[in-house]
Amino acid sequence: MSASQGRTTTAVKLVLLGEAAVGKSSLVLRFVNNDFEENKEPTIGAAFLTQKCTIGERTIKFEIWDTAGQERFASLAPMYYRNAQAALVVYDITKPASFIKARHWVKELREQATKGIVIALCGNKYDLTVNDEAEEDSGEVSETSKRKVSVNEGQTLAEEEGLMFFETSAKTAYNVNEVFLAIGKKIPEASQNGGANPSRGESQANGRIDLSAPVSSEDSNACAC
Amino acid sequence: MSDNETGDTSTDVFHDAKANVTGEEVTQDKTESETVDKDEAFKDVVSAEAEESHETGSLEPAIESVEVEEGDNDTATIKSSKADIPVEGTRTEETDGTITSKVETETEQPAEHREVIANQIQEEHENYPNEIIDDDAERVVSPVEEVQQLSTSSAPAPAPEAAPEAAPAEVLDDPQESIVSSFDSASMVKHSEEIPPLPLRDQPVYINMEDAVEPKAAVKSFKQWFNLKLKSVNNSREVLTPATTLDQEEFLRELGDIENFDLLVSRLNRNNRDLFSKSDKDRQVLNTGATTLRMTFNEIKTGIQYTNNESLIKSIDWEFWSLVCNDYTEVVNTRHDQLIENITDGIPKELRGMVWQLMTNSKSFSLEELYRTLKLEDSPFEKAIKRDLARTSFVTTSEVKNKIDDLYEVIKTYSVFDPEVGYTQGMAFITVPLLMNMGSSEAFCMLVTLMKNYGFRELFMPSMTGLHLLLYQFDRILEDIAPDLFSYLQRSGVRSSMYATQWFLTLFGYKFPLDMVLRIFDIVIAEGLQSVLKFAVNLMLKSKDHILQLKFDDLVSFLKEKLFYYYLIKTDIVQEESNPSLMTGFQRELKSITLESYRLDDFVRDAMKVELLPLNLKRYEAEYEEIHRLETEREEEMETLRTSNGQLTREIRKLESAYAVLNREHVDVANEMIQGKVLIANLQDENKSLEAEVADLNLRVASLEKELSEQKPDRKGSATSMSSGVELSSNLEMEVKKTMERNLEVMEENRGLEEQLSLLEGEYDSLKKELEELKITHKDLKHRWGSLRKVFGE
Repeated sequence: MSASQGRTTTAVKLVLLGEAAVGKSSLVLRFVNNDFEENKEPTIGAAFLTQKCTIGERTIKFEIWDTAGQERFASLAPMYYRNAQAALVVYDITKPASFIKARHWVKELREQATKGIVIALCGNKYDLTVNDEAEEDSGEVSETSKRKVSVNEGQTLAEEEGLMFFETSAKTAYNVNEVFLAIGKKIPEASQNGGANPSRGESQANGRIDLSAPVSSEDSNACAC
Repeated sequence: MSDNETGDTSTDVFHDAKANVTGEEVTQDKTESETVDKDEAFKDVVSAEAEESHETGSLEPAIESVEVEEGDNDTATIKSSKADIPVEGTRTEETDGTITSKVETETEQPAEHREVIANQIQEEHENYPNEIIDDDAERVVSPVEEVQQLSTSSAPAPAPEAAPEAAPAEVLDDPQESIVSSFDSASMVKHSEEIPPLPLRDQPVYINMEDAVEPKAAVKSFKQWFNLKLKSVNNSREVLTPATTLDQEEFLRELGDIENFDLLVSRLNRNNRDLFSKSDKDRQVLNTGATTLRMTFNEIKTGIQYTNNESLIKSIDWEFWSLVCNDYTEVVNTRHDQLIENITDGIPKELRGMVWQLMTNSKSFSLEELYRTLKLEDSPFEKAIKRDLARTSFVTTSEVKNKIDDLYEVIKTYSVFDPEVGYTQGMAFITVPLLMNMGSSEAFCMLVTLMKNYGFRELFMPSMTGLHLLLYQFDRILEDIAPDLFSYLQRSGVRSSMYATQWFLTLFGYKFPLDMVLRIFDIVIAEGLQSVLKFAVNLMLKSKDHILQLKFDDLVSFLKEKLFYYYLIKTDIVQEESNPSLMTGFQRELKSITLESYRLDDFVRDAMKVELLPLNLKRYEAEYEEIHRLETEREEEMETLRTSNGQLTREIRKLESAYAVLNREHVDVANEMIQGKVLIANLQDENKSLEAEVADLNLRVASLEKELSEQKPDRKGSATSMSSGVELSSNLEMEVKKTMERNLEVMEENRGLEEQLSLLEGEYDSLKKELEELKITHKDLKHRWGSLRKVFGE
């Protein structure tokens, strides 16, 4: 269906998740249009955008679903992350609650989304803390800092869950392209065209046990009596 | 596939039915421009599949229907005494008596009209039942669609304007011509032949709930007609309408209820039902509210008159709107189509707030009082609301900018008032239009009413069931009306929730300027929340051809961003094409898109041409609820399965470790066993060798025994066979004798020797004695020798 692109183009369905007003749409806007708007409209439902970028030999076409952040839109989210090969879980480094929410999203993705989904954790609004000089060195959250979620906290979560981790600023474009490029690099070449059609392959390989797998400790001498 | 086909057919019918409605209206309405409009519209909707084979003879029944109306007018004038429709006495002085009386006479007509038509139908059926059946067998027509058509097609009758009344002769003069001139396709005229105009129209005479008298005659005749239809339906092979699958009684009951065929009436009745379900006190409060609102009508009118703005004064149909304000229910019942038309054209801006509130029965002093109290309370959503209001361009760029504090208060107070809903992004889009047209406390009342009575609450509830329901209904309607489009979207993997969510949550406010949203609000308030589906479906239909050419990603962005461009005035589209940026462009675009850049009237009018039957909507709702129920069940099941899966996983792990232990034990045992086996093998070998030895030995024993037994008979044999062994035995005997003799000799000799020995012993003894003696002598001698030596030595 979406195979109009050349062979080397990999279509990657990517979904953005995170609490309201952490800057999901702004990150996408920065990545797709290299633009920034203060007071971006709240997203209702979800927005869809595409962007191509070249990584080495490959062209990756990101099909980005930018979801609405408010809690009650969560019932719509599964439709967007189903079949996604990549997810960007965003939080606001000045809002601890958004980090907790990010944790939840990661958990939900691990339980519900496609196995092997590439997840990047993104602490956004880095620009707000750039002026805090002290925290740069210590990595600790100082009393006066606007930063409420330390780099360590983010890194720890990322390590625990096997996520990529970035702190970004959609406003200054800091690390924004890097996030998407890193995701692109992690997408295996084999998964081409996967995200184009959410209706395809509704397989949810979530938490299933493969009963058909052979038991390794089979004994060949078993009971000859 | 067969599903699609039936869908197709019903679509055709749907279109045809609509065309027919339009046609009827045109016969009534003499305005030139209107005719042209409708004509165009008609061309739009009549599908290419319209059959032409029915052209001949199709006009005849149409004429009949005109005659009916004529006769109807006659009877009306004769039996003018019948006035079973109560007219509320709360009219303002503004309404002049002539209108009142006119309304009264007009209201009588539907009843008469009904009877006449009902009789007519019965006659018709008696006369041509076979024809109808044949016709039906050929053309698959769903009874539901027909009834819908009937209910609307006969609708204009109750509100005949002065013109038709004055000139019925004209109509009679050449009805054929007038019809032909109005429409040049036969298919829809054919329809009026197929379906006799049915007496459903009288049913909206639900002035108050108490007065809702069942129109028995109509139902009776309707049932006759329906049974006839049902028979024909059963006769035709290919038809599978809901009627055949539904319980017939149930279906009849549903068909007998006008509410199922008219959103406007359905909405009104729900509002009224709600009003009458309230306690007397509450109702009185609402009535007082309404009365207060009505009084402002004069103020508004005089206010406008003072401005001396002639065009403004003339642009408003004061007479009509005063009727609406005085008794909305009555206007719905008596001037149904005029009302819809006027609302479609937009409620005058000056009257909008008042009309809305009167339609919804929202104004309540006690609720306003509550608003003022709750306003002071804190809400957990305060921050979120503030943040969203500041970044919602619908708010920041509209006229309501000055009322942003009120907006915040209303939304915040609502979140306190209804903590279960709290605050949902998108609420601002609903509240802004209200605040544009009324005070903040009134807006709060209306917000509460919309939430409670209009189903907005379900839309904004955390579970968003209302949204999912609308999306489902949207899907089903689209599937009915444009199955090709629907299946194309399905195949492309584009779900309605991907693009239509924001339409429904914001009543299109997310993309449209406020003016458009206000017009959508007019319809929604008159017809209910589900009428947004009309707008949604219409937009899809208008861009259908374009959509069918798009691929997935273009498809989504088109549906989300550009679907509305159909109603943009051309120049804007060109401008937009040159600047294809989607999101960034939007805010600027919003500012540039003013009322003038959209063909607003067309947008609303086209949407209103989309027919939605409450009956179908209800059916879809039931379907959705069933699906939803199953889904929840499935989810619950999934959940229990997941937990039991977890438990089982743990159990498996436990069992696996136990298994590992057992396995190790097993290996040990097996090893032991192997050793044992080796041992056994060795023993067996040993055993074998021993056995062999034993056998060998046995053999040897046997052979020895044999040998032995052989030897014995030998000896016996030698003894018995003397002849052969005489010599041997005599020899032996001789030898024995010799040996014995010798033995004797030896014994003799031995005796002699023994004697000699004893002699010798004796000799030995004497010798011994001699030796002793000698020894003694020797000793003596020795002794002597010693003494001698002594002597000599010395």
